[in-house]
Amino acid sequence: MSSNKQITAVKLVLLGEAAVGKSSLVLRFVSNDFQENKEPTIGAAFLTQRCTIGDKTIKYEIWDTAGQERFQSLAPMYYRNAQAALVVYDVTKPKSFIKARHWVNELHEQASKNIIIALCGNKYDIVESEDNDASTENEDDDSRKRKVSVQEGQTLADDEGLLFFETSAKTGFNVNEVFTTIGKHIPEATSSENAAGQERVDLTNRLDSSSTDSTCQC
Amino acid sequence: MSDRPVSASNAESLFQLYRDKSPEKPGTDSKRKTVDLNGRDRYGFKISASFVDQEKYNKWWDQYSRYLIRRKLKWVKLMSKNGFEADEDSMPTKFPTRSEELKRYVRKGIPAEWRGNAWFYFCKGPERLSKNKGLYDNLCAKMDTLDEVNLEAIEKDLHRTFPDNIHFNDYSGEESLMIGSLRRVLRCYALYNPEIGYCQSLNFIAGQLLIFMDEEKTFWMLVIIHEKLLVDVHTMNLEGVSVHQGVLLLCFRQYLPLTWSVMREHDTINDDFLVNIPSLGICTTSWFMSLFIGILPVETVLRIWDCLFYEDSKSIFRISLGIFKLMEPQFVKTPEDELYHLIQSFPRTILNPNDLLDVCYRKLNSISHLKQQEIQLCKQYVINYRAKYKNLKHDDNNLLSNQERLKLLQEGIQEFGKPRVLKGLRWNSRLNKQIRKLRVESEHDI
Repeated sequence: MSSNKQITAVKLVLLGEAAVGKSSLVLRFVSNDFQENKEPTIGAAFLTQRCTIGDKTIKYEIWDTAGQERFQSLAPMYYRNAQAALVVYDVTKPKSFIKARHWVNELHEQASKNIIIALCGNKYDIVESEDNDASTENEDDDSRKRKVSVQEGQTLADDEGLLFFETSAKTGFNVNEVFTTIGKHIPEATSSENAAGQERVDLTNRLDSSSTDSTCQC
Repeated sequence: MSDRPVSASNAESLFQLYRDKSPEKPGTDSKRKTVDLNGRDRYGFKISASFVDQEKYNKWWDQYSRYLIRRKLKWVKLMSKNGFEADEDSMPTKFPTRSEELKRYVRKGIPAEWRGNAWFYFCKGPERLSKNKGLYDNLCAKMDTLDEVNLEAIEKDLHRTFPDNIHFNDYSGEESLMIGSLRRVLRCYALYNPEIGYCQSLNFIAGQLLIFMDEEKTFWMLVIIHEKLLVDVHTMNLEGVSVHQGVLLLCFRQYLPLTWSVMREHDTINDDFLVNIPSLGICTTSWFMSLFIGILPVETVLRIWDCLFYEDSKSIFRISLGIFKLMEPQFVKTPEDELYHLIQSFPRTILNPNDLLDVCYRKLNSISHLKQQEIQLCKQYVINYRAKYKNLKHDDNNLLSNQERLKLLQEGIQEFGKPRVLKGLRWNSRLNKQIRKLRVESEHDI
């Protein structure tokens, strides 16, 4: 290992409706593995993975959260101070895309300003064959498994300034690309030391603001 | 006749898997063979899916299964002594009245094949069932009327419940009887308790109960668990989860000062930690929500459940503290960015349940002094604190001014009267210190 290689720690949070494949994407990225019927995540799970991009190494500190609606109240604890977020939906479930939109809005409102958000349409494997099969193109929407088009995903991403991928945790399609692309967008300056220092400064600012910032109290 | 199809559980064949019985001939290896059913444990879980390698598991099991046989014989004797007819093959449905001796026996482990009956009995299940005859069947009859959101949420999780357990997933491609039972129990419970409905993690609790008892009893156990152990934990806003974490943090401060100081140092826990639960505290939410399923190895979880169902909610806190106590030597020397990983991975290594239970219940250990009353008072304090904070907080930045914080803390103390009302917890004296500090600061503000 070259000694002057800088390791950047990046806190990344996964958000999205239940059973869209958040934990499976992480499992694919961290262990290059896939499990059918992966057990639901309760609360949140924490995993790490290193990723080398060019001459920099990124250590992802991943918070994989529970998807059920009611866990949303716990989400701020996971995305506060996060530098990156993966908002995941299932390309076969329109409702999960609506949910993804909500998460993007919440992140824009509540998370740190510079957060890098990647939108992931997962379970691409299910629609892959019909996408490639020209004969199904004219069939009505009901018989198609795909319920969220690539364009819809791309448009949301363009409007909101997100990275966009369609992925398959099952086949591994595009999974590493998501993480390496996020890594490329992480500014050089946020080394692990700096990130930790940043947090501390933030907290004291927050505490101080309650007593000194009179403008927000009147 | 009932609409309920035959339950998957309680079948004699299932019990055969985990009977704690002496080997037919001393010295034969029959015990281990009954365990290693194609690499599965006696409950049907795949050992390779557990957290330790097979060799280590077998070595431990060889010892532990001998312990189980010894304990079973002692239980048989205890039962006879108390006037119950029992031998190695009997399946008692009634147990001796509560006593210090019985508590000791429970803490050392209930025989696996008696667990279903014993848990149900100790939780006063038979009384609930006889007072509410037919209730479960009525719920079953109308379970399809459950709202779409809950139906869908349950359906999403059924096949994701213990996919590595042979009773839940027999690889036939057909839905197992167990999944059918699980669906009915979860739907009925969601109908019965609309404030909770279906919450992820209930699938695991119900699923594990179904390995030991039929679905009607499982249903009543869910009802009792939410009255007795997990109040508000699975409700819509999950407020109970945050309250429990708050109480646990207060317990750390009192019973594991070393761990607490490391947490404070690393996680910059500020004075509002009861409201904004710090990240390290949040790692343990699933311990409460799923009653340690998936957190600790299977046999360890079952031993904990023995204690939980015989005792009360303090056990959850004692066990949580016990895990941290075992982890403490590693915890204090682990760098900050590895702590989350440690909290997740360490519990999986507690293969021998006795290691954990000794820490929680041995008289010499301070954790064993944690009393139910203390937990109750502490919980009430956290609930009130959080409620008042919410009423006072500014919508713009969610933070209180020093004056408001001062008021809140003073009210907290007044409510609980004398500062020494909680013998075990020193949080009152700490509050006084905070108040002094805040008073100085707010005078400064003015």
